[in-house]
Amino acid sequence: MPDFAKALRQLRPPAQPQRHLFRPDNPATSLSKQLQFLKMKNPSPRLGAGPNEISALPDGEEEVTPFGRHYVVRNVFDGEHCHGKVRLSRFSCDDLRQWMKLMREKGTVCDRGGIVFLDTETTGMQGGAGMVPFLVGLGYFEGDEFRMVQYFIRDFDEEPSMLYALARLLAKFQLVVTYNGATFDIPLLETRFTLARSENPLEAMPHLDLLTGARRLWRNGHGSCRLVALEREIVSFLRGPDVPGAMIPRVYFDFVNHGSSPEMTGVFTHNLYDVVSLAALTVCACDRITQEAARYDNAADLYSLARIFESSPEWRRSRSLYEMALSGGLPEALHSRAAENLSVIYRRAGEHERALAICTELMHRPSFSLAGYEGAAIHYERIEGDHRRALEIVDLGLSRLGDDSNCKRWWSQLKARRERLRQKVIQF
Amino acid sequence: MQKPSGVREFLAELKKSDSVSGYHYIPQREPSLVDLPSSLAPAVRSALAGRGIEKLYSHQAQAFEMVRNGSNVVVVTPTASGKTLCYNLPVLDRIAQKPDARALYLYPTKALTYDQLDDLMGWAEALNREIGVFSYDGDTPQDARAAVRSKAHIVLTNPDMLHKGILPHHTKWTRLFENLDFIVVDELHTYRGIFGSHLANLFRRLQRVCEFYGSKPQFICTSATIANPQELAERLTGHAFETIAESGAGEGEKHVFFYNPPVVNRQLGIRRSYVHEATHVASAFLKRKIPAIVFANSRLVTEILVRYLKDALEVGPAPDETVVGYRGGYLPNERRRIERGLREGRIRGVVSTNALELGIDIGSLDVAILAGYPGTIASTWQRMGRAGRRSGMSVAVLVASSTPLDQYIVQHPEYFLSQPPEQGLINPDNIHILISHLQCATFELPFAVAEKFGGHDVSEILDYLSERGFIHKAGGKWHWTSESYPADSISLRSISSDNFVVVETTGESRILGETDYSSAFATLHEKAIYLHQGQQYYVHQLDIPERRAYVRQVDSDYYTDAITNTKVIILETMENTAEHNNGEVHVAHQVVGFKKIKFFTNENVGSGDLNLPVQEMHTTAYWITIPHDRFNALPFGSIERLNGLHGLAFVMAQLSSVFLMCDRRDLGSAVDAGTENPLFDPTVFIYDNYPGGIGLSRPLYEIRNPVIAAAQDLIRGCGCDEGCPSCVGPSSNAKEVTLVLLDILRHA
Repeated sequence: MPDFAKALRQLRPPAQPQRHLFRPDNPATSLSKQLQFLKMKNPSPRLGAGPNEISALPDGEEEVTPFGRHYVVRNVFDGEHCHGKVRLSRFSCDDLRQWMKLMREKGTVCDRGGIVFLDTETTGMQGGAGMVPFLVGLGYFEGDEFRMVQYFIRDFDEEPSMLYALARLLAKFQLVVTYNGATFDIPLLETRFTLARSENPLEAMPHLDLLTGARRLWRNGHGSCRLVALEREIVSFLRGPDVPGAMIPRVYFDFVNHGSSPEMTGVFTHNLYDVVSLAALTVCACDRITQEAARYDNAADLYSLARIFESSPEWRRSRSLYEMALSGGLPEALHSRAAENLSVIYRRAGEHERALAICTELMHRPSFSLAGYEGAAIHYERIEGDHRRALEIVDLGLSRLGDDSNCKRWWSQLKARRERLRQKVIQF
Repeated sequence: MQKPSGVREFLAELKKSDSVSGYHYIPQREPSLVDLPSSLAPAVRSALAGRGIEKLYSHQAQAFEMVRNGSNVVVVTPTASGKTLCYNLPVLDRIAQKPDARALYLYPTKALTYDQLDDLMGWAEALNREIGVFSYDGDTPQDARAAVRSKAHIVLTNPDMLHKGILPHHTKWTRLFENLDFIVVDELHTYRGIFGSHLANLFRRLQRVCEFYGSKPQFICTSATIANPQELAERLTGHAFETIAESGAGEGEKHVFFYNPPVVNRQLGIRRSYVHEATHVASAFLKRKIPAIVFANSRLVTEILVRYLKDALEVGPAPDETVVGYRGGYLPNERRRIERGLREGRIRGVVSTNALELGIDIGSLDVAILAGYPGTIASTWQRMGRAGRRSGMSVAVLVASSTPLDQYIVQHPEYFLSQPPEQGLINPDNIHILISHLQCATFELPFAVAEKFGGHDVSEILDYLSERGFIHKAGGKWHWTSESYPADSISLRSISSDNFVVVETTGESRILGETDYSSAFATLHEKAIYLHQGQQYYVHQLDIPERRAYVRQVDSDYYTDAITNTKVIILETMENTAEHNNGEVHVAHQVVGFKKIKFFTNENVGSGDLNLPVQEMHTTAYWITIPHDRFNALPFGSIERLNGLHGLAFVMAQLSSVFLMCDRRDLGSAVDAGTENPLFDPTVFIYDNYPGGIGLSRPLYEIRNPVIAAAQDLIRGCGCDEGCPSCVGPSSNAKEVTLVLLDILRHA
C-alpha cells in the first residue's frame, strides 16, 4: 500500500508556491508571429482602389461646433410644394391632435413649428454600440415652408460635433415624429448620446411613431406598411431610382475608406424622401380621420378605419364605415368580422332588428360565427324575452361545432350560455 | 452518525475484494469557526442571524476581510464548504452600506444560475431592503429585460450572454457599469482551454467598458481544487489575486475505493464491463437503503445505468422514484423536481453526467460511485465530494473502464492521491481568439490608436483588420465598419465560427446540432455513423461549401472510425533538451477513409475510401525525436519499430491529457518515421489540436518526465501480453518496442 499519510497532505492543494508554466515572453505565443502565419494563409484582399470619378456631396456647408466639425445640407420646400398628391403646407396641428387622441398616443401638440420629423441612415441594422447614424435628416415647418436639415459625418470622428448640433436643434421642438423610431432611431440616438457621455435631448421629448397608427390604418388594405410602400400607394409619390436600404452601409463605408462614393448623393436623397414622405403620410393619416370617408374607398381600409373608431368615444362613426366596407366587397375573413362588429354596433345603438338580421345572415354562412349565434340568442333572450327560441339557437350553434381547439373555446362559451338559458326556461 | 445496518460490514467485505486495487481513508475534520466580522452591516448581521448563522467558517471570514481590503480573491475549497457565502457576504454587505453598488455574477451554466438565483433572492428578502437580484440570459423575456437593466443590483448571467447580449449593448446598462463594484466568477476551473481563452478576452472587453464608465470592479472567484487557481484567475482577468485554499468547514470521514473490474480474457486484456460493475456496486448500497449518486461520463451510459439499476432493484418493494437519471437534456422543471427529491430524501439513487458535478444544491448523499474515470483529478474529487456530509461517514468508489487513462489511475491509486490536481491552462493570446474579441471590442467602443489589449500592442492586428475592411481609422481611433454584429459569429466554445450544421432528414427536416469545422470531416463524412444523444444517424450527404451534413436515423450494429493522415512539419524549435522539443508546427490533416467497427465485439466489418480536403493549421507542439542510429539498431523488424512509434504516440497523447487537465481531443498526435531517409530521426508529435494553440505544448514539454514515467508504469502494469487498447493502443504487438523506446527517453 502506498504512503497514504503523505498522500493526504497533498490532497489539499498547496496555496504556494504555484507552478508558473507561462513565461510572459513565451516565444511560442508571440502575437506578431501568429499574425504572420495568418497573413500567409489569408492574403490581403486588396480593397479595390477608390473610384475615379469624384462625386461630391450634395451642396451644403461645413458647420463648426465646440466638438469639431461636420457637414450640413439644407433644403426648403415652399408652401405650394406638393409631395405626391399631398401639399405639405396642408399639415394641421388640430388634425394631428385629434389623431393622437384617437390613437391614444402620449404627448401634446402645441403648434406646427414645434414638431420635427426625423429619420436616420446608419452603418447597419444590427443594433448595439457599434452601429453609427452617419446621416440624420430633420424636417420642420417654418411658416408655410417645410425645411429640411441633414447632418452628415464625413468620418467617424465628426460624430460628437454632429450630436452637439443635433441636440441644439432638437431643443427647439416639443414633439418628434418618426417611422419605426420606437424600436430603431430613438434607442439608437440614445445610445449615441450615452457613448458621447452627453445628455440625450430626446429623453424628455414626446415621440410619435407613425408606424403604429399607419399599420392600424392600412395593414388590411395594403399589406406592407413600409414607408416606401405607403408613400407610393397613399401619398402617390414615385421616387424613381433610389439606393436600396440594404446597400446604404456599404456606400458609407466606401465613402469613408476612399473619401468619396458615387452613390453617396443618392443616400442623401433617400433620407430626404424618407423625411418628407413621413410628413406627407402624417397628413394622409390625419385626413383619414378628419375627412368623411367615401363609398369608393378601398373596402379593407374602410374596415380598418371602422375598427379604430369602434373603440373610441366616436364609435357611432364606425356604423357607416362598416356598412360601406361590407357593400364594397371585403375578403371573406374580413367580411365576417366586419358583419359581427357591425351587429354589435347596431345593438349598442338600439337598432335591434338590423342587429338580428346580420346575426341571422352570419348563422347561415359556411364558416362558423360565434358572434352570430350569440347575437341572435341575446336578441331573443333580452329583447323579445323568448328564452326557448334563444335556447334553440344556442343548441343549433353547438350542433355545428367539431372538436378542434377553436371549437373548444366556442363550445365552452355557448355551453355556459345554454346552461343559463335552461335555468330560465325552467323558471318561467 | 446512525447508518443503516450493514454498511461497515459491507465496506469490510469490499476492502477484501480482489477487484479493489486501492483503498484510502480520510479521517474526520473539525470545522474551524470564527466570529462574524465586526464591520459587517447590521442588516446583514441580522439576516445571518435569521438563518441561524452566528459564526463563519474561517475561509468565509478570510474572504470577507480580503475583499474589504480591496484584493481580488480566489477561494478554492471543497464541495459543500459554503463557498457561495464567500462572495455573497461581501457583496450584500456592500450593497447594504452603499445602495448604488452593483455586482455581476457569472456562472458557466444556466442551471447553476437558477440554483444560485433562488438562494440569493432569499438573502435579498432577508435583508429587508429593495435589493434587485435578477438573472439575465437567453431565457429572460424581452419585455422583462428593461426592468432587469434598471433595477438589478446583482445580475446573474453566463459568459455567452455577456458576450452577445450585454457588452455589445453596454449603453443600456449604464447604471450597472457606472457602479460595478464586483465581478463574481463561480466555478473558475471550468474556464480552461478554449472556453477559458475566450473568457480572458471577454474580460479584457468587460474591463474596457468598465473603464469607459469609470468603474473598477474587484474580482471574487471560486474554484474547485486545481493546481493553479491563482495563476488561472490572474491570466483570466489580468489582475493580481490572493488565494484562500484552507477550508474551515468540517468534513466527515471518507472511504475511497479504487475498483478495477476483473479480467475475463488475459491475453487480450479484456475486463468485465465497468457499467455492469458500477451497477453491481451501486445496487449493493441502494439495497441497503444507503443513498448514492452514480456519475457516468456520457448521456448514453447514464441512461443505461438507470435501466440496469432499476432492474437490479426490482426485487424489493422500491417505488419508481428510487432511482432517477439526471443529465443535460432534461427540462428545467424535471431537473428542479429531481434536485428537490434528492434534498428531501425521496429519491435515493441518482445517475448523472457531469451536470451534477458543479455546485447545484442536492444536499448530500452517502455514496458516490464513479462509473469510469472522469478524465481529470479535479473532476474526480468534485464528484467524490458529492458524497459526504460535514459530519458522519461517506464512501466513494471509482470503477475503472478499460481505457488507458482509467487503467493507469486504478492501478496507481498512489499517483492519483499524491498528485496535485491538474492545471487550468489557457492561452488568451491565441491570435484567432484574440482577433475575434478585438473586433467585438472595437464594435463596443472605438479603439484608440495607442490603446493596448490585454497589455499587448495590437497595432499590427488592427492594421490587418483594416486591410480587410472591418475597421477604419479616424481621429486617432479605430471604428467598426461592417454591417455585421461581430459577437454573433463568435462562439466562446470554439476557435473559429466555421461550423457544420447537422440536418436530420428522417421525417421533417430539423437541425440536430453543430460541429466544428475541424472535427466535421472525421465525424460527418459521407457514410459515417453519427452519434447524437445515443441515437445513431447515417450521414448521406456532406455539403462542404454550404457547411451542412444531412443525416437520417438508423439502427446499425456498427459505428465508424475515420482514418486520417496527419503530416506535421516543424516550423520553429523554441526549446530543446536532448530528444525533447517544443515549438511551432504546421499540421496538415486529411480524412482519407473510414472503418466500420461492430459494437461490443469491436470487429472490423468493412471500410471505405474518402476524398476530403486537407485541413491545415499552424499550432504548437511538443515532440520527441529518437536518434536514427539508436532507432535503427533496435533488435526489432522495421514494421515492429514503426508500431512502437505509434504505440509511443498513443500512450503519450493519452497520458498527456491526464497531466494537462485537458480533453483528450485537445491534443493530436502524429508519427513521422521518415522511412525513406535512413538518416532521419523518427519523430513523435503531440500537438495542440487548435489553430494557434490553446497553451498546452509548452507546459507539456515541462512536465514530460512524469508523463514518460507514467507511460512506462501503465504499459508495464497492463495485464495484456503484447499490447492492447488499454496501453499502447490499436497497433498490434507494440508493447515491448514501446517500452524500449520509453526507456531510451528515460535514460537519455
